[in-house]
This record gives sequence, C-alpha cells and structure tokens, in this order.
Amino acid sequence: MFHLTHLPHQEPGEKVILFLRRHWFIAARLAAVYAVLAMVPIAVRWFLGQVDPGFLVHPVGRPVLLLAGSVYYLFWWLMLYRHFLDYYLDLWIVTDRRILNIEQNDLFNRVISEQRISRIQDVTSTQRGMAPTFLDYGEVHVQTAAEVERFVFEQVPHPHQVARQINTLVEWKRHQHLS
Amino acid sequence: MKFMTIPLFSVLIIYFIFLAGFVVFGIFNVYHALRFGMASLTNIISLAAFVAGALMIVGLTAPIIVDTDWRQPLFVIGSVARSEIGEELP
Repeated sequence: MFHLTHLPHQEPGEKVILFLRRHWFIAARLAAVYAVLAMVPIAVRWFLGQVDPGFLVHPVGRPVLLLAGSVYYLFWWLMLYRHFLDYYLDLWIVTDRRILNIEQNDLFNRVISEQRISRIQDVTSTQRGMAPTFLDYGEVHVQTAAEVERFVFEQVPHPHQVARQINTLVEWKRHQHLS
Repeated sequence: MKFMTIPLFSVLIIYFIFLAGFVVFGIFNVYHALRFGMASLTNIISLAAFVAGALMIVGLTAPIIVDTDWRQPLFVIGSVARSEIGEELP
C-alpha cells in the first residue's frame, strides 16, 4: 500500500495540492448494476418454481441448482471487487512540483504517468451530459509540451475548479522561474 | 443394452474447478489492493469485506455439499433394445 506522504519518486518537501478519484456517482452506478445482477439467481429460482416446482426439491436438480447459484455468486462477488478496485486504484494527484496520473486499466495493467508543472501548456475542463452537469463532475485535459495528450482526469468532481487550481499552480511556477 | 452413467459428483468436480479459478483471481485482486491501494480504512474494509463475502458464499454452499449423495446418477446415456411389441430386451 502507499501513503500520500510516500508518492512514487517523491521529492523532498513536495506537497500534495489535489488528490482526486472518480466521482462517487460512478461507484454508485456500478453498485446499482451489480445489485440488479444479484437478483438473477433469485429470478431464476422463482421462474423454476412457477414452471416446475418439483425440480427445486429433486434430489439431483436441487444440488445442481444450488451449486450453479454458488458459482454465479462467487463470480459476481469477484467481478464486483475487481470493478471496485478499477475505480479505487485510479488516482490523479497534483503536487506543487508535478502531476501524477495513476490508472489501473486491468489486472496486471497499471500505467503511471507524471509531468512537471512547469511543462504544462494548457488545461481544459469539460462536463458533458445531464448527470455530470447536475452532480458537477467531468474531465480535465492537461496538455503538456509532448505531442500526445497523456493526462486526462476522468470523471473527477468539480472539474472547472480543478482546472483553475492547476492553472494557478502553473502561473505560480512560471513566476517562480522568472524571479 | 449399453448404458453410461454420468454421476452427480462430476458436477461437484466442475464446481471445485470454478472454485479454484475464483481463488486464483481472488488472490490477484487482493494482491493489487495490497500492493497498489492506499493505506486507508476504505481499502482495508473493502479487502476484509471481499474475503468475508467469499467465505460466506462458500460457507453457505458447504452444507449442501455435505448433505448431498454425490454417487447418484446425474443422467444415463445409452440405448435399450426393444422387441417388435416394445418389450425391453436384455
């Protein structure tokens, strides 16, 4: 596990300004999907009870059905946790020196990108859709001197404020260099 | 008359194969949470909940496994020779 005081390649005296994850609504949406999926074996059991009640108490049918339900719920639980980790392990950290983009794309597929604040050229925030507008979450695009845009803060809360804060930090860094 | 009986414990074997797969991927998930997750209460609680939930599902399945007679036939494959009037021939 890592601590906020021990970031990857942490520099002495480096301070964390922003620590961002995706908006809680993304996790809630995921939880709702899995809540519906949890009802599937119950619905199947009810349906079989209507069509062939004898199957539910059959000496062969009952254990087969219960084992199938057990397998379903084990994999349902596994996928729920895997998706939770996918949400939880995606991080965007802005310090007074750099920005860090930590994305867990899949199992054994983790991408960590970092860039100095002084190399940031443009910061843009976007909010598209009804839920992002009402709940105030969206994307922050950070364009650096590199050819390819590598930093996109996805579905983060208060994207306009985040963009403003990063711009302020960039300005502050520029003044620091000039002086 | 030739029969092949598929016993019920073949379903149990398939179940244990799935269970082994679950354990392997569960370990992968736990590894990721421990290695890359933050040292926070949320991470620890979610990890504990995952392990507890898995044990609960397996724990609820165990009595079914213990109480079932797995030697029963699941189904029988085979053909039965019959006479012209439909009597089963040995």
